Amino acid sequence: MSKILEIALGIVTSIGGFLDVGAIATAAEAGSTFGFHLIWAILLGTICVIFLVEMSGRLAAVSKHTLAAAVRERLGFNFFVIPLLAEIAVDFLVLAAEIGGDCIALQLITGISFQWWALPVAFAIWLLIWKGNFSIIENGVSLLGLITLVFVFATFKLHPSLTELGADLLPTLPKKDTAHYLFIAVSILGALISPYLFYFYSSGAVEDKWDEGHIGVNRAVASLGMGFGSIVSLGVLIVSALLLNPKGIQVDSYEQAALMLTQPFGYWGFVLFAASLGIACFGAALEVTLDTAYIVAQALGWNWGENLKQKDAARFSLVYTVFVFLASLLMVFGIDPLQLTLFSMALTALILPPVIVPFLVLMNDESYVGKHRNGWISNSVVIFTIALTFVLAIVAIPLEIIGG
Amino acid sequence: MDLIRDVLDNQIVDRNQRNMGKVDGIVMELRDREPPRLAYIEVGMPTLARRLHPRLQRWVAALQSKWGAKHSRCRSRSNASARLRKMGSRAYHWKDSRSRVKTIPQCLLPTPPSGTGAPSPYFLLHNRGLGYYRYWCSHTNLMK
Repeated sequence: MSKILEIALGIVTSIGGFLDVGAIATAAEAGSTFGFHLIWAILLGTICVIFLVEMSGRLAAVSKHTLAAAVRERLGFNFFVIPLLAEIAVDFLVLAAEIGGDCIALQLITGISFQWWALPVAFAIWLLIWKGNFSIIENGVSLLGLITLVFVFATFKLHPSLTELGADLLPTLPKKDTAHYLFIAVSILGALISPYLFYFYSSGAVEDKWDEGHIGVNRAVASLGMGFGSIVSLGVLIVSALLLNPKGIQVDSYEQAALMLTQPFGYWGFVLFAASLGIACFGAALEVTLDTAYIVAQALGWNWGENLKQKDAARFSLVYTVFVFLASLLMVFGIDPLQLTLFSMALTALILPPVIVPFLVLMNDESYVGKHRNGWISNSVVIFTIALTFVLAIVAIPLEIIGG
Repeated sequence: MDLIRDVLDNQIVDRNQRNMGKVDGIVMELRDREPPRLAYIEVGMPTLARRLHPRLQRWVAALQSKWGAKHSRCRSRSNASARLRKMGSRAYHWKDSRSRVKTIPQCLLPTPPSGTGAPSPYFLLHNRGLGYYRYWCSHTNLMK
């Protein structure tokens, strides 16, 4: 019974925690600019992320190693330093973007410029991590994130044509603005296949003391949680495509994105959008901040754990304290949150290969996962994802320049 | 036991199972007509930096001497009992026989053994050093 509750809670929190600033921004821009044509990118990214998240959970449950610790131990520091530094850099930008999303949400509600909110938001993130424990961050904030289901309700209310939706399940190139289309596709994949998810998920599994008995829970949470979570992301794209695209409104700022819920829900749509954006970004900011502290501490062998007292994990606590305040400075300086989001999502695509290649080694190494090694389907998906991410990494920067 | 695979980059914990760091470097002692033996394990940023590039090590060591923890604190820490987390492996037995990790040298930069000169008593064993280790063992017929 407790396993069923654990699965249910895991699925619900995965749905609530699925959206972040990247998913909202890329899906909204994709829908407003290209209608339903980029649905395939969300579906493709979701399939990849389901497999990779499941693997990071399985690795942690069987080997008791987090992904970061296992990569360093198995492949050596000279390899691990590449994904480590890349992940820290991307986490920094993503965290700044998440803080930016929170600030914009507060700006939408209060009218006070987002720059003024950067330091208070950073302080709130830090305070919750400092005072809270892993369960509060994992479950509490993600449960609040269920408010993002408003995009799914809006989709049902707008009655989209299933024929049109089905027609865009396979990728097709548009006749014009191809570079921008591909740039948004890369950004969507970068937003969905977020490396911080894998590191955070495996660290969480170790924090929750998962063992081999949790493999079923892990499989259910990863597949159903991420699968249902992606429906929220699809909801953003569909609502944006139905309401903004016909009026020729392209999402150049979050203020324009906020219009997407006003037709189905009136004034409350505006408030619901702000609340969804704020809560989704706040939850993701907590995860990214913790993730950075996790990977640094695990890379260097320090004591780590959100459930530990600060004095028992002093360097771990120092890392997230410094990191969250440094990231908030980008918003204090007034960098456009939406542009930063799209840029950091494309940059995420760039760093994916060194993050994903180790999965192929670790998940086939009996000394780590024993009899729970990857089967041919999982290995095929990893190989496909590696090939995909190599292509994304090569095209990300040129597309950033041409179509971004 | 394969030192590179089973010891290098593994977690070190103290007697209370608190994480102390990773095995960032391994120092082997070369002895006349005897097999080499594990002399030290190294922990710390300068060692990690050296594995990337020797110049990086100098920079990190300079930064650490200026801003890092005080020497006395380091010494008490490095004298702490430590064991490798690889339970059941020979690394664990090594802990039993040697019991304690001795002082961890900050800047041990020995000359790798060469065919012309007398070998240094110590050399570092990491990804690059493995070649030296194999070279030295085969050169001196002490592979076993």
